[in-house]
Amino acid sequence: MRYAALLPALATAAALSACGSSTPAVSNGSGGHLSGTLTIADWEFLESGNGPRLDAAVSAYEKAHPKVKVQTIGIPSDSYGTTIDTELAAHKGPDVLVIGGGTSLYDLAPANLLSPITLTSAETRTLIPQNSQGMYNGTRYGVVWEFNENDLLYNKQLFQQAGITAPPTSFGSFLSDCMTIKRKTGDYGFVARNMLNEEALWYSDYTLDWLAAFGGAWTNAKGQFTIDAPASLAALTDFKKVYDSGCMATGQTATVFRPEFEAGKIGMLIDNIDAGYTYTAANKVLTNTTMGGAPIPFPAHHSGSAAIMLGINRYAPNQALAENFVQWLMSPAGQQSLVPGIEPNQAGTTTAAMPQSFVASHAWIKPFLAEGQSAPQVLNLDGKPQDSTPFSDLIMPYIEKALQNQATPSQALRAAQAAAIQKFGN
Amino acid sequence: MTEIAESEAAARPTAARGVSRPGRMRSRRTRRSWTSSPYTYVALAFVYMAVFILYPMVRTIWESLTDTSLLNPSAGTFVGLANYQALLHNGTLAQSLYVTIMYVLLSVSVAMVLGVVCAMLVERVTVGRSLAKSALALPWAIPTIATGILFTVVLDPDIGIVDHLLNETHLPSVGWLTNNTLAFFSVSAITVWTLFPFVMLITISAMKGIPAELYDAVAVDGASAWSTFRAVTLPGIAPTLRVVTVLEVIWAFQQFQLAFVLTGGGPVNGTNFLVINLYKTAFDDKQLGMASAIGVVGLLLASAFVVVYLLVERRARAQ
Repeated sequence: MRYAALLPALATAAALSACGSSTPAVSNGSGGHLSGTLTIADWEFLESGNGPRLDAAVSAYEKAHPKVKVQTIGIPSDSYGTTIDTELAAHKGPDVLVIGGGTSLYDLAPANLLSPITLTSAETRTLIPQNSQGMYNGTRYGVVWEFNENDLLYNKQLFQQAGITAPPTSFGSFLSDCMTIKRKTGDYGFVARNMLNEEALWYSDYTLDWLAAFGGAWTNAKGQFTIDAPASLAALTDFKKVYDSGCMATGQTATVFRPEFEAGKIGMLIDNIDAGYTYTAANKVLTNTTMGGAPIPFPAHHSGSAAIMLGINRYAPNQALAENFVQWLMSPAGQQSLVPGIEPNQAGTTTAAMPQSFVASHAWIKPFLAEGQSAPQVLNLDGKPQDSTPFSDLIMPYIEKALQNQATPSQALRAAQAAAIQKFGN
Repeated sequence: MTEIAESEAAARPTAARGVSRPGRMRSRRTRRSWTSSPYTYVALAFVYMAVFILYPMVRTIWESLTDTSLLNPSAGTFVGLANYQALLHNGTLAQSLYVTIMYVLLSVSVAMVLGVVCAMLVERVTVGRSLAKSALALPWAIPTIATGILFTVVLDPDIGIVDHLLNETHLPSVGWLTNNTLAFFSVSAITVWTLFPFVMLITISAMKGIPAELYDAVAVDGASAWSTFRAVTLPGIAPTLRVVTVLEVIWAFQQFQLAFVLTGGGPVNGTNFLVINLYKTAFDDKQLGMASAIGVVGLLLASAFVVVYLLVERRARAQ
């Protein structure tokens, strides 16, 4: 009973500490009192072209905060997801992390491994629509680090050799051009991922480049599965036509076919803006003038949107520093620092645009920019995004079954629909 | 009591009642320290086994009875046999078990035969035997992950040397890793390539233990090479081959890198071995509890084989 007298004091102290613990939303990332080392993890820090530029971009934070040291942590892309998942689950890992490459915000947020992010109303007004992918249950856990769309990249020289004067604008002309290139040049007309040993990336490519490009999605706005819907069936049927045509290189992983495209041995592929930049960076066979870009020639004429998010580790030792960094990054100053690091990918706010000089010197980029922010988000399941990762495990073997003629596309997708409903509910 | 202890005891004066003689105490002390040292050394091995084998095994069995998630490993709740019930109704596990058993049977049996044949052939080589042995042992020395990456290029339908040779003979390229059936046999063949050198080396070593007189005796009787092998070589190396078979089976059950790199478990789950299934369940689906249940199923499968081996070994010894 004698301790009862302390209760009001304790309650007051608790209330005051609660007020003090939430970091106020600082509009320009000011926080000059902050000090320490801030760790940021991303697989792109290891990339030969992007890595140093990204490193410099995030290290610009140090100029505004002299007492802070930014330490970038590069983790190989093929082990990024597993590494980050297990580190965060062990309450370790970087302070700030790029969420992609095998990690998913919809896995980490429900597991309470990400900290909520608070932005000012001014910053919120400048956010592009893709930032909605950082929301979970009404709370923001991620902001767009970078985003891009996929479009058709083609080798103008092979087109010329095959007598093709313009990139295809429909599936029919796409298939025809593919077969013509193979027949007249001996080189493959098209390539895409098609093997389970690249399952996560194949799921991403297929969903963005085929499913979304045919106007489909795995779920509707109510979260109900639409795996066997007409658009999805059309996408798989046509993908199988290309797979069976002989003009598509099958059985190759991206580590093989991407260099082949760069070496000018493949006519077309559908890829993101970042990959296009890499193909022309060496300026040998494929250059900014010999590689063309065009809208995806499938019914919807756009791919899905792939936004890579940035989040804060809930168990980061430097929580205040991490929050301040993210707020700085989304400010005009931070975005201006970030753009040179992520280009040709696009940033997450409207305050930082790609320099016109860059666009002028990379003509193939224009179709990508024209899609802008309108590309739909289809990678994560609408209404049940936390099931997205196990869903990709479920769906791709069915896609493969159809390609291997073990089921018709219709049978495969109907079976996948039933399996998904059984596993995740509808 | 040893002779030294006895003589020492006899030389000392008899102690007063209730006081043990120093000689006897010394001999008891000597006997205790002499017999406790082996247990001390063995205890180290037991500690290692307890920490790195027994504890993880028990922990895995416990995890298999929970719904533990990879992203929240300390928050799993007990669900009893629910994971096992789900696995029973899950067609993927049944297929995993089937392809795993087929893969183990095929790759181990071929590796054993190939290893013994190569051992016999190498022993017949007089000039360059060491070189031949080293060359044949090379696949075993290459890290498995490197072997997997190497063969993704070798079997590539466009740039791989295998299809290049086929094309040179006017044969079409083959989907070694993209055809459901072929992928299984391709992975099995590459596994044999990595397993047979160990069989060869152990067989060569075992053959050296067979007395030369036995070969002389059958030669006098005019036995053929095959009869010699059946009558002398095979019985001599049989115990070693049984042990090697057990090891090869266990290694084949645990084989992960090759299938993961070459096919990722596809096409159409054609190479979705138990450990691949376990990995995907743990790290893609993030279901540690379910993955542990798959691990326990694998453990029971491997244990069943070991029990069969022990019964065969016991019968062989009785004979």
